[in-house]
Amino acid sequence: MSVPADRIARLSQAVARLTPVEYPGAAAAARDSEAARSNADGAALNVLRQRLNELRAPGDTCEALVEVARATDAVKAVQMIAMAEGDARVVVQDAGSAVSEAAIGVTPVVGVVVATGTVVLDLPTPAAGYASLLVEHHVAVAHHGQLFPDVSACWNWLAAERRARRIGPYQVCVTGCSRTADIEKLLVVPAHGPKRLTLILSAEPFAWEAFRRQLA
Amino acid sequence: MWDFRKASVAALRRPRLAVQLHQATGTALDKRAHVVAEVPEWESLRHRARQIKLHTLTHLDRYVSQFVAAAESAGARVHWADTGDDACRMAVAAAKAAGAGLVAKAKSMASEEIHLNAALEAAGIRPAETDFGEMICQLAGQMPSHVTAPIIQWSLEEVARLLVERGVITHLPTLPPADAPRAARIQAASTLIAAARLKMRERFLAADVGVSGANFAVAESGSLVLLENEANIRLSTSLPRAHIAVVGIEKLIPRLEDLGTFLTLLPASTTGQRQACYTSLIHGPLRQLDIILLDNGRSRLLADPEHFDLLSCVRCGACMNVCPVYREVSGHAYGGVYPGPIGSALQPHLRGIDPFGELPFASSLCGACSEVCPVAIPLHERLLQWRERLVRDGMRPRSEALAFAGWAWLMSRPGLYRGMRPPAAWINAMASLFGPVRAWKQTRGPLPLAKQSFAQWWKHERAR
Repeated sequence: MSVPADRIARLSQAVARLTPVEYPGAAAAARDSEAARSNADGAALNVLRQRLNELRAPGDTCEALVEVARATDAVKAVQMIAMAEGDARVVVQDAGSAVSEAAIGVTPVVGVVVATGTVVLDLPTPAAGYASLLVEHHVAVAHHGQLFPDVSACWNWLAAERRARRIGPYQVCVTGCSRTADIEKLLVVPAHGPKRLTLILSAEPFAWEAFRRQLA
Repeated sequence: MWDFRKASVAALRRPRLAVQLHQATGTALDKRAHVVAEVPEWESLRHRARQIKLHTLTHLDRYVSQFVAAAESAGARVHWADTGDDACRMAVAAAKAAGAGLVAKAKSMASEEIHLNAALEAAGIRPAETDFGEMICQLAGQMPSHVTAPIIQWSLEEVARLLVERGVITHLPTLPPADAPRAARIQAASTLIAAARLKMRERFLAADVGVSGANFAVAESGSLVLLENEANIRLSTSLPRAHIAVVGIEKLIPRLEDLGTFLTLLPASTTGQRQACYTSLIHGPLRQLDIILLDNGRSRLLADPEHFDLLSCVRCGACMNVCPVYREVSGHAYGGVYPGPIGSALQPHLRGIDPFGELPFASSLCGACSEVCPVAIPLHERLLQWRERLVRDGMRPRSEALAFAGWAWLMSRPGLYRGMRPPAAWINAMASLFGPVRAWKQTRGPLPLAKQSFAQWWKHERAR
């Protein structure tokens, strides 16, 4: 181990002077084990829509949640967004992308948090992140089976997935578009990243690879 | 030599500083209150967060070992730095090994604490701060004055002038007056940010190495967790070919599941957001990763059974926003990178009581900081304990001790006290004779004094 043993020993000496505090109780731990999905009922979808719309840039009135029935409709929705933005260049999340800027980046997600409007990206490589980072408009594509009610449920699920190595070494939770309020707390969008986030939510589950082929 | 009294007097003389601070911190607190009100379990989450942090700290030897083992097995190189200088040397060595000429720096209080930028520059490496506020600080050659809002005391006009001076923009744009509608001010700020964004994008693409801190380090998995709004941390950690993270050993938490608690508390407390825009979760090297674990006085503080909980701070900045002292004098008056109540309690530990022993006295002990703290650190109690320690160890001037001894002597002799107390009317009359009181009264109305003292009133009421 690259940390010398005597440094750990120094910590042990310090810790020996303290009264040990237990890890918080069983009730909380039980709650932790719930990695419950959210029902995709009307109430949940309304909250999600409201959250995503609240996260838009000041003055942006473009609907941030697009609900569709199935993958083919999601493809059409992406094409309509691109058309509405003047046949903007679309890039799709790809593990091997080169650094380049495009107007619209389309990405899959592994989870959506209803209570906060967060989408969770699992990025197999750093390059896979470019489609949600070096673009003007990030379009995330999800389905009803990926909804979590709140942040805790989502993190419990993420923890279990990572422990089982079903997700890779790098995730990013995205909540809205990039922003800064460093000057006088004036909210400015974008800062260094995208200025718009749209979530296309399909009722039916679909495979990302198939969706991708259809889009291409 | 820095001195709190001189620094705070200088801050109080700056026109509009307090106005600017009250507006900015007030906005942050309003937004926080709005989000906190949505979380009915807020108090139990705070309690749980404190328990998790205290548990981690009281078993820190075990958790550091676990973190190092997990991070190394994931492929990261982990280093231990006893001091800030050690950490700088390690970061410089790692940056040089990656062939760095230009470093993209994500916002990190740990790297501010160890003065990493100066060390990189001395080694011929150019550090570029990429957080907008930190970039302004770097251009101005100033320390950040708040842990999460580095240029909180800057006006739009001041930022614009600096950007022109430093050539980021070519000419000063016409700015709407301070009382113009908010939308107009936002529009003007957007122009400045857009210019900076263009400039920074070039640097991100050219940088060889990215340097960051971490908000949390997860012992079980060796993961680093970073929160941000601008996307500059994502760019700094994923674009360059190497990533160096400087992480204080107090950032550890046991398990990934604990993040649910902390990631609800932290964004709400910092900026009044339900979530930060981007939460990066890095379980292992994206390309190559050096993690520098920073001690720099932390293990000494850990051995202090009364004060070790100061290490549970998550650097949200909420205690600064509510502090009646911070809101008048701003962060620079505190003489270090950690200002406000947490800084007042922490700096004497990390940097010595000479001269930072003055800071625990720079507090009204009102307790607002303890109430707002998302990990429930009883900050005002820690500040009071500091005062007790400093008085006990004879670190205060003799005149102060004499004055208090005289006061205690007088107060324990009620007969004498009553005899010496001047009639109320005298006080107003005498006040106008003393220079400082006269100055104080110039901006205030007359002091309405009661006709009788409380003791007289009490005696009278009881007799009825």
